[in-house]
Amino acid sequence: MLIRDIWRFRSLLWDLVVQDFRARYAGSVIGVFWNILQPLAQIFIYAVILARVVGSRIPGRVGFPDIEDPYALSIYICAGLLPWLTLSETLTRNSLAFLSHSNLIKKVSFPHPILVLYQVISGLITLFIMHAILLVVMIITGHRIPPSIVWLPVLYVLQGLMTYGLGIFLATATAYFRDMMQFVSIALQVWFWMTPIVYFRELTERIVSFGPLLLLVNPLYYLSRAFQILFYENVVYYDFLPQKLLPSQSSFFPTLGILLLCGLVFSTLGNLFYLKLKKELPDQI
Amino acid sequence: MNKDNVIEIKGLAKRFRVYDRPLDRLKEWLTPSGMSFHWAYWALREIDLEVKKGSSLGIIGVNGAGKSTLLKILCGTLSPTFGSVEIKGRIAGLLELGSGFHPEFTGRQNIYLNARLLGLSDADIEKKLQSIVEFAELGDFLDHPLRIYSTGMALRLGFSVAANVDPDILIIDEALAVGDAYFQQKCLKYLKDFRAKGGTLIFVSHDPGAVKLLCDSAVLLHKGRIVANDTPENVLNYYNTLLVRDDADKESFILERKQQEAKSSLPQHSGSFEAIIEKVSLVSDGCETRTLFAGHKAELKVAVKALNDIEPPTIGFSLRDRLGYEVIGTNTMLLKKTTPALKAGEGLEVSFELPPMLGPGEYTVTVAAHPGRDHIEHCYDWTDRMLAFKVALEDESSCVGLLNVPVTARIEKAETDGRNAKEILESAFAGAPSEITISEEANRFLTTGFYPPEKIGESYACWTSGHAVFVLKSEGAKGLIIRCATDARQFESGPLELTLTVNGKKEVKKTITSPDWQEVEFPFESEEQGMLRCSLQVGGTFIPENDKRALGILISKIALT
Repeated sequence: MLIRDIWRFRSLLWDLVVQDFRARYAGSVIGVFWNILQPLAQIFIYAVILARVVGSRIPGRVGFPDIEDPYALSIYICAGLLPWLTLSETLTRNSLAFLSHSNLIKKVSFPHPILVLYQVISGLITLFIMHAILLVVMIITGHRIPPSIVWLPVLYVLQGLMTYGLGIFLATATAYFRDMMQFVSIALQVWFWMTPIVYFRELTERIVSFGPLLLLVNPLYYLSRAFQILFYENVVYYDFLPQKLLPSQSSFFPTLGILLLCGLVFSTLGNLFYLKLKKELPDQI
Repeated sequence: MNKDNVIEIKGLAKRFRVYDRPLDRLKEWLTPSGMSFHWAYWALREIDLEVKKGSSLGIIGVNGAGKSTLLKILCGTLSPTFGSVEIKGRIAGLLELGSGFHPEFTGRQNIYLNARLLGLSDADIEKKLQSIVEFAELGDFLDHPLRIYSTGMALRLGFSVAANVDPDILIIDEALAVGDAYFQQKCLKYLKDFRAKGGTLIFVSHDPGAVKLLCDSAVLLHKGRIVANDTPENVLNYYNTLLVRDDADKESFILERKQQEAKSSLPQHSGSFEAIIEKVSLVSDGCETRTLFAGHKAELKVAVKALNDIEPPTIGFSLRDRLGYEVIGTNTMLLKKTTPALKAGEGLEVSFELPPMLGPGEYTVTVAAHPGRDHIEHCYDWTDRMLAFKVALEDESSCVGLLNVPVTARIEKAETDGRNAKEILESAFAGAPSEITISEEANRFLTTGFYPPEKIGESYACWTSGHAVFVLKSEGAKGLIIRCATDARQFESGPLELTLTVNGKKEVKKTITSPDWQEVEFPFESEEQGMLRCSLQVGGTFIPENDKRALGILISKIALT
């Protein structure tokens, strides 16, 4: 039902994505580039400054020799940070998706989840642009790009599914309880530091003793892990891994499986939550 | 569902849950079912309604009666709490101005956005685009962002999209009241055609005249229920009695009138009040109304009550149009009618017959009672804006303006007097110069498309619009030089092309590549003699911030060489 409705309004969906890119920066001088500058600044802070402060010492992996790559830490951070930035920005926007379009919802009849979906898509497009920049920078700094990078679109779909599920829940919940917005911004911060993005997963234990256990139920861990395999492990250990279209890490496909499961569960639950409450949604905003 | 019906509503009710605090809702969710922490506001109750295909239904009611809620449920943006709503066909609603529009988008982009929101496919939109654009008549504004549009322009755009998506059912909510008379007439014509083609119309308005004009049946909503469902005439009568009976609602009605007609505040009494004007009413076709149809006779009834014993009063009125010009003004003494002297408590009713010649528009009535010929020496009561009413056209407009009087037209082919175009121009623009330097004063030979001169540095210059026309007299000139400058924005999509056409022929094109002051020369093919009607086409215009003018180039001097 919902999917068919969304499909019927697909050109509206695309319109909204295009509008999003154009309108967010309409009237500003360099326009769409803010879209990229914003995350670039974040990357700079984490990947360059943090990497210098902490130093580029990488803990050796079992079975691999120590590596002498001055960019390794930066690449590692970027691999996990980019999807995270996209996820957190999209979820922050999603939580306001219905409220900020109340004018539209009250006066025009159309499938409301489109409002969440277009933000998810627009976030993924930004992510794609940033990944393209990252790849160019990696090539310039003398790295080889493994063929398994072709799995990237699959990761986008999985991330989109997961984001949409959480997003539609947040959008609906915020329409009923404005407090959700505050909650989201705090929750996102905690979630970020609970996930090995700017540190290695071996260090999780240092944060709390049950950290490693917590990781197993943290969907974001699997998401960042999948990106780290493609962008970091396969690149930094390029010479030590057989480079084929399928990543050689045995954990890659189980990770994708868990992500797919999370995505399906989240979007089903999110949609059910929305459908349950949609009847009075226009009355509340 | 009956096959003649396009809308069937059965037992519809809409409840809004009102929570005093957000916490109350949380409590309600978390506590066992049955506990309630809200109070219910029933916007609609027990609504049963059938609308036949091709009919047109007016929905009348005071603010808060539930009209908008009903419309939103019909449009599918709100869902009913109880009951069923069945709709056959595509429904398009013009619920409120600018819904589904984005201010930063151009008119054209908004057409797409809006049409997609109404569920049209891209191929459909492409097909309709031309007629939407034509109907909206936005001209150059179509490709400018919506935020610089006037309210009327945004309305035109919204209406043309809704009108051109070929809806089976069209819902119009007050929106028509915003456009200018020309566009209103165009919309009325469209709505008539729409109905003639079998479309169903639902029309919500506070304006009884429009409801009478457009609808063949009407329902009256009051406190969420349908209290009358009949012909527009009968329902409007019911509405008026309801208003009189129910004081609380009467207040809201007055409030509505106030919002509608910003300038008509409450009646302003002044005077010594030995007598007071009790009531003024307008009667046409046998019933009291606030809307007249042009060409129909009407009577203005003024009721006066004496509070003291008074000598024979003179009762007068004056009719003003929306700009405050007095259209008609007279009184009983000027009309040579005598009135009796009144004792305290006695009343008098004077009926003035108004000529059926008022043009369409809004009028206010000022009424006065005073002894003697006029109110200057002594005045019992002088009341401004005692009544506001509207004159509507029954038919498509045959005229515009203050007076609606019969005008005939006769058309013949003119005989030529042998003068050629240059001679005619010569007599119309006697004294045309061979060069024009822009000065502080407006120049009458810059005929069209020049904005008033502005001081630029030490000298003066005029902005043109996209198309400017001026007249010069040539004595064997070989070309024309324009000293001009423009704005850097004009070059965003490449060089700017200027096209000069002289006396309707021989186009000369020039491109400029920089916004700085420069002299652009347009050579003529041959020497020109006599009057030159020069038309300058600028390849693009821009709209500066804080300005709604579309500007072309800035001209300081035009000279023949």
